[in-house]
Amino acid sequence: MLTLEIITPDEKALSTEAKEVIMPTEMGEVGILAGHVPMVTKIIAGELKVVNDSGTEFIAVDQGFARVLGNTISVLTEAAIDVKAIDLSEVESAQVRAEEALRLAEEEGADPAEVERLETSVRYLIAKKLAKGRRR
Amino acid sequence: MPNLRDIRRRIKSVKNTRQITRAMQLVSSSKMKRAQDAAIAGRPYALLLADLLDTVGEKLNLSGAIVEHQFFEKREVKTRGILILSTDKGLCGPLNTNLFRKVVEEVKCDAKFITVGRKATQFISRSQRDLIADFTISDKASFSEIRPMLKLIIDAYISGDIDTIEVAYPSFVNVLVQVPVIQSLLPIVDLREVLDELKKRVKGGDNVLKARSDKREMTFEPTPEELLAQLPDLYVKIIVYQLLLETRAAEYSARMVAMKAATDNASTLVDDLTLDYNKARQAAITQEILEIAASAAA
Repeated sequence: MLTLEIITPDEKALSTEAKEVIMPTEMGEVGILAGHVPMVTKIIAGELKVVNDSGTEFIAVDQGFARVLGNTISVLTEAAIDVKAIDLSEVESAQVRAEEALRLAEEEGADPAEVERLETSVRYLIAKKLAKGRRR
Repeated sequence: MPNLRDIRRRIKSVKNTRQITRAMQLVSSSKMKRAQDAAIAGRPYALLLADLLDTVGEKLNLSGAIVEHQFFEKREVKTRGILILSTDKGLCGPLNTNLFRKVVEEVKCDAKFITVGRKATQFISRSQRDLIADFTISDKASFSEIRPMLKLIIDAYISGDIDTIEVAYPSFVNVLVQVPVIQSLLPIVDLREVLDELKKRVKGGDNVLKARSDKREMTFEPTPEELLAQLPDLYVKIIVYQLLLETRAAEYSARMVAMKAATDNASTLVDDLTLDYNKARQAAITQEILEIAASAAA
């Protein structure tokens, strides 16, 4: 068995057991089973799959890092949410708002840090939407 | 002999003040709980990130490559960069004063300041020190809010405007004790020390690291170098965020204690004044009886 922990700056979002974990990384999806070679990798915004005997759970994550070490997978990301908990209409309207704000900010040549912040939120919202959309 | 009405008026005003300070005490104590929880909840992330950075650095060192990242480079310190985390509002006891005294004592050479919170801004401009920028962070202090500030500091560091990044903040020891601390952030000299410090603070922190017993060689994707390009940046951000959360917790606990003391003092004052009032009332009655008795006798 693997232990999966997803940690965000605000909290420990998830700590669970899993048979297999499939992570979205820069090099494509990577499946991790127990006894995997120790590894550090970069994660991109997308969906992370947790496979158990009882079924598969989906979790939308933002970009970040993951470490596989001694049957423990630690995922460091800025945000994570269980796909089941995503309200699609809310995500869509939030995405429209965020993209609009981003467009405005870029037009006005706003502070790059502010633009970066908006980009982060748009990226995560899109990842949430995709993850949810595929499960319906 | 103080006037009866005057005393009554004072008692009323002190009672009003007491009501306000008690309300502030209650508000701070509930906010403190939340701020403390937030600070504790953020620690595992900081710990794991520091550990990750350490692992990557170790790997690069072992493979003989010299870690080339400007955050690790030690350079001659001409201008210190100091980030002061303070509160926006007063009425929190000696919290800010202690912090500023520490800054005055420790920072004798050339330094530039970046401040968070109105109190620090006032202090720096009043004492005519070199202020690069000041920021106001809301009560909730979300991670995204501090991005602009961090970008500015890191840019200033990279451009050589400042040669160190240090954070002065009131460290939360417990509800009664907050100690002002100046923590050096960049250049990263000894990551292990930071790690140990963090480990002590995270409940079950050893758990996060126990996986280290796996001795097989670590693989890195895409490459250790590429990871190292991003990790230190994030590390600095997270540590500052963590310290900010701690500052919040310290602020509320200091305010709670200060307001508790104020409420207690007001209660004592009311007691004293009530005693005075009763004495004066008794004296007036005695006086009146004496007068009546005297006139009856006459």
